Amino acid sequence: MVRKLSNFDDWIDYFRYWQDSIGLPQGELRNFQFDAKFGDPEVPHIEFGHYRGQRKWPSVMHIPDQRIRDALLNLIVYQGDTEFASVEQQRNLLGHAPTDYDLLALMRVMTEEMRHGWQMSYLLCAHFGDEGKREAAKLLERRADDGERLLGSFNEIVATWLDFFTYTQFIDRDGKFQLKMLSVSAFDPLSRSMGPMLKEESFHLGTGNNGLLRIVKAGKMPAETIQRFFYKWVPTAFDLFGNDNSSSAHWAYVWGLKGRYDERENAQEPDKAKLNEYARELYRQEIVKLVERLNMFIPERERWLKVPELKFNRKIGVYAHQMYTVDGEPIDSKERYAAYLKTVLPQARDYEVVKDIEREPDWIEAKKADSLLKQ
Amino acid sequence: MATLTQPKVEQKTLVRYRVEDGLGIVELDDPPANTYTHEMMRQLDDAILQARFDDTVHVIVLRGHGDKFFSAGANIAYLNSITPRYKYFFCLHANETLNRLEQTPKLTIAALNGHTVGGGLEIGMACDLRLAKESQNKIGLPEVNLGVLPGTGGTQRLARIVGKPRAIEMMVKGETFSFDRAKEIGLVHEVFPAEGFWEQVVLYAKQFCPPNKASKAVGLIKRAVQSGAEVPFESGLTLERELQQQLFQSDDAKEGIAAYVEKRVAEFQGR
Repeated sequence: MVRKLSNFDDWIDYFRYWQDSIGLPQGELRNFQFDAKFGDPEVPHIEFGHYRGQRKWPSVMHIPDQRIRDALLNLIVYQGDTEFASVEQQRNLLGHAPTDYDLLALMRVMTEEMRHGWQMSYLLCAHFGDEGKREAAKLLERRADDGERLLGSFNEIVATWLDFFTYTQFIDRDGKFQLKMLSVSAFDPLSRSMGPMLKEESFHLGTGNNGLLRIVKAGKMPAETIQRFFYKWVPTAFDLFGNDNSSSAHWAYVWGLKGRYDERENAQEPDKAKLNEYARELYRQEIVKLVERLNMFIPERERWLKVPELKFNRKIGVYAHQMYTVDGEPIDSKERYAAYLKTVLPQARDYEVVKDIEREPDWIEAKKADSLLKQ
Repeated sequence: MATLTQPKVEQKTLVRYRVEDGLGIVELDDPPANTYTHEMMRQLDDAILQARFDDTVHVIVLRGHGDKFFSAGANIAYLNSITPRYKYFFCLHANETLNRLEQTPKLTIAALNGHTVGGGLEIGMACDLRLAKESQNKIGLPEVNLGVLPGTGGTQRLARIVGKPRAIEMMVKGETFSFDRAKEIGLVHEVFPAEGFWEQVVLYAKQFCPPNKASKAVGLIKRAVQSGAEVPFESGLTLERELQQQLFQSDDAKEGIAAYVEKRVAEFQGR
């Protein structure tokens, strides 16, 4: 049964209980002064969709249709769910950080993810009445460990630091895309939430990108092992963009709730049936470039890292539950596919190898903690 | 022999009516507590009829003048001044007025902007939806304390809204309570913050007006429920079918279905 909350103060109490229940250690992580932050309004009017040109909606009551309110609540719930999920996924790494820098970086990432969850919960409690409070409570009741989080990536295990850096590189980067698409939302409190969140999220992406660069530069972690972790995480990141030919994305655009990633720069009329595909492709192009950058530090061309094809190991969309190789070639038998997956995805022995390597000194290029302490 | 001549009352405006952006706004205005007399009921009746016949009105919103009372019900001094037989006709007309409000095929909303007790709540209960202002204001049917019962439909409508057992308990105790409590038991639909209450009510009401909503469908849904719930089930289904037939032929249904197929926002016109 969902905990009944009367107001946001009740939610804060429940949040503290959630921190206890997932075993978050006392100290800086717990003492952080959480706040809902709102950026200055950048554009006062609705920027796209049917209501384009009208004043942005300052409250839910200004939204002219219940279906829009329901869809908006859903968007906020999904965003909030990912924030708390990621803290649940990452908390086990606190005990064995490779450097002080990485520990501080992890703590900052986790703290900011909690703040993002706080922000979404605040919106739910402040704007969506009893239903919002119920959903805000549920954000703290689902558990990544139990596979209860709403999106696939957020039920995966983050067992190693290689996982963490891959996760922040690819999954948090999806987060950046989602936040940017919401930053042009017609619902003013949501769009103004995104500025501060995007600033914080950029540190998470940087942590992932730098972490992977440092691992590759150190040369201890085999590229083939890193590649398996890319194959584990990238398809889940593709899934996060949602279904192909999505009606939900279509309506979210028509209603002005969620724009394109490049909404303000893109003067072309969108193909509203392909909005998720469009965002996913922009994301794919971005991560391909980032992986190419990593390859600059891998001398042997045959060991270069790559981004799997969109068809590989998908759980959502037109390729969901179909059998393709990482290069997008079809596999026609279930047995062969199951055997193939074992050759490309991390297996138990890969986790052991990674854990062993992560115990070695210098498996990741050193980085001084000073840069973080100064911030 | 008792006369049925209406007692002499000051002829003044006790109910203010205006139309704004598709809303027919009806304001009970007799300070300090917006209590009603037969004169006010006649003016209320007239406002309801104006709103009913006006095609530009899609939703009717009732409110009290000022910020302390929606209405404290019947004017006790007035009641004290009239004969029992006159009182009977006064009640009969009040019932007819509230029935007219209830049966008008347009959505009606009571904006409970202050204390809502006795006959005030009875007026509120004849509306389809009740929105209350966050406050220390009270709501309830305390008529039993005067040795009478809630006689403007209160015993019937309250039981239909909160159920017989709770309704009886509330009325025999003469209980008045907060809007928050009223929301818990389903007597009030929403409690909005005091600041900007009226703006919230207007925004809430306008969601049911064109172009946002097919207000004819809204009105007939209300009509199907209000009238259909009072007749045998089969008759209710018949009513529902006939009203649906009207909607099938409406411009808004054509627009609604076309917009759905074309995945665009419908532009309803209330026709």
